[in-house]
Amino acid sequence: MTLTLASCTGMRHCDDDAAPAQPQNQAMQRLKTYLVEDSPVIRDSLIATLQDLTPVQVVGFAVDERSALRWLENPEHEADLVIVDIFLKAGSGLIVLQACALWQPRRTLVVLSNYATVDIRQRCLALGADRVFDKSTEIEALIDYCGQHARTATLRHPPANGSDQAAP
Amino acid sequence: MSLPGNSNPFVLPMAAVAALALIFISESSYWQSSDALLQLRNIQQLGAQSEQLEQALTSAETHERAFRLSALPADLLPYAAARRGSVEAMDGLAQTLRKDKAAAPRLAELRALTQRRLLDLDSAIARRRAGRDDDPTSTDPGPADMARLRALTRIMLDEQTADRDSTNRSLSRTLLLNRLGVALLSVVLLAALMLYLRKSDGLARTLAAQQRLVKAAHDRLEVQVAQRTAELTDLTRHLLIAREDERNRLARNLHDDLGSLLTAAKLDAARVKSRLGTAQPEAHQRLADLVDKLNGGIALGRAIIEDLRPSTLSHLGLATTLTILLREFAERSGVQVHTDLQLVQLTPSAELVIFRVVQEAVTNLSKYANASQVWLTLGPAPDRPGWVAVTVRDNGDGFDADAPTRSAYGLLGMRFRAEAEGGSLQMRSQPGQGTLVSVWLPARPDGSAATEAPCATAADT
Repeated sequence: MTLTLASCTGMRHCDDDAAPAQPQNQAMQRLKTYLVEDSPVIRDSLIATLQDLTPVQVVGFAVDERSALRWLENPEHEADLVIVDIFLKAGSGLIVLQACALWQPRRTLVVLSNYATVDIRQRCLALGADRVFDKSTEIEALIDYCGQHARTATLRHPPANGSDQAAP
Repeated sequence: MSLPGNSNPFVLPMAAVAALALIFISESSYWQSSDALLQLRNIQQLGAQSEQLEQALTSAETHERAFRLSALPADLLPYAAARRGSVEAMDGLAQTLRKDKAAAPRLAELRALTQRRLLDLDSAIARRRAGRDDDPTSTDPGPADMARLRALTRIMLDEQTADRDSTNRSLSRTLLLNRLGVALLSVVLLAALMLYLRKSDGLARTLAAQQRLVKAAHDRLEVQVAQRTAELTDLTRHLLIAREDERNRLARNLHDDLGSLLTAAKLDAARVKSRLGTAQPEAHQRLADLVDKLNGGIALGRAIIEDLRPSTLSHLGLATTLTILLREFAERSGVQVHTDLQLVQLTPSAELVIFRVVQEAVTNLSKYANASQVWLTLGPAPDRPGWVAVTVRDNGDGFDADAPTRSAYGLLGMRFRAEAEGGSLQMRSQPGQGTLVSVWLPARPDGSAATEAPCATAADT
């Protein structure tokens, strides 16, 4: 279920008419992001929107708990930002969150949930999430956060070329 | 089938008539026999008294002669005794025959003869004492009178004997009739008794057969009722499970399809907004309106989904979900809520049952109970190892647990849910004493708790 970088870029290719063409080297310096989201509609839109509006590159995604864990536990897979949906087709995003926080504490963990109630938020933050966004009401905030985070991350680790061109 | 008791209404009157006839015959023969016995005694008495009279008169004659011959006053004493004896014998005869009218003329004649004879003897003695004695051998009418007297008594005896014979004949006829009647009536009564016994035996058999039929029908009905009840119970369980499945499916569809579409639409709106830049403020306004409407749709869908199936249950666990449920209830109703929730191992369907039961109980008490405090406990059953117990208690009005309740279907539904999971539900209430709903469900065996574990541990933090 995990899509590797190749298939992800293939998806980006479909989106190329909407997104402005960017130089390959610039794409390499974008914030590497992994997505755990089971809904294809949201996933496609989210990938397109994030890559369109923020200096984020989605390097892969999973639709269920097991495949997400399999991808994330591999130390060769690089991802600076992991966006996790709590409610998955199989398993729970909370377990992904917990495992991810234990394995690689340096990764930024963002929860995108359909029911970001107070309890869910507390639970997610307790399990190691950096931020929690409601899928429906806080989409804009998520986009803003991703943009902000990508810029500060690239500022901390500046690439060969300036990345602020990627900002919308 | 006719009732045997009604088939012959004459048996009882016939038996009564027969019994009366028997009594009549028996009584009449008794009276006739006692008459005959009395007559027999009279005849014997008559014979004895006649003899006594004869002897007394003969003795009087003898002593009169002796006096006449001797003229001794001492000889007068036995004469007086014999004379008295003959008078007494005559009185006895009269007494014996006092009822016999036919014998009255002869009796009168006998009495006259006796008196005349005694007067003769008296006058003979008087003459002798006066000294002018007659010839003792002459002119004595004694023997003729005595012969006549004897003839009279014999005639009377013969008459009485003839009378007795006729009485005896009629008595033997009566006794024969009595014998035949008794035998006949005994046979009749015996036959009637047998008939009656046979009939009551038949009646008892018919009754027993009818009772067997009724019992068989009753048993069939019982079996049918049990079958129908079992079917209804199964159907209810099936419906409850089917409803839960349907709600689940609906919630999933709504969440997956509608929610995703709306979220994706918002994402698209965000992209459009960034593409618009700052050039077209009116387009921005329109876009903001569109996002508002999308948010409205999202909120609506979310409320529907949450109502259909508590999403927190499968992600945050039962304890948290119940806490949220009661907290929201407390905020909505103002009722003070106390919870004591322990970590328990349950299957997802059992958790859903508990959630639904608590939800129903809370709904009920907010509708009817007028409670100000609610206590919810969840934990291992203290007296049943391997079981989980849930209690919902309130301090509200309560109700009569035996009376049909307003929320009968809700309670039934709760019970069926619990039973469908292999558990049980009990509701205790008294008017004015609040209500206690208790549910027991089997705990999930350890080892299959992998997916729920992080949620449960998180619930403790």
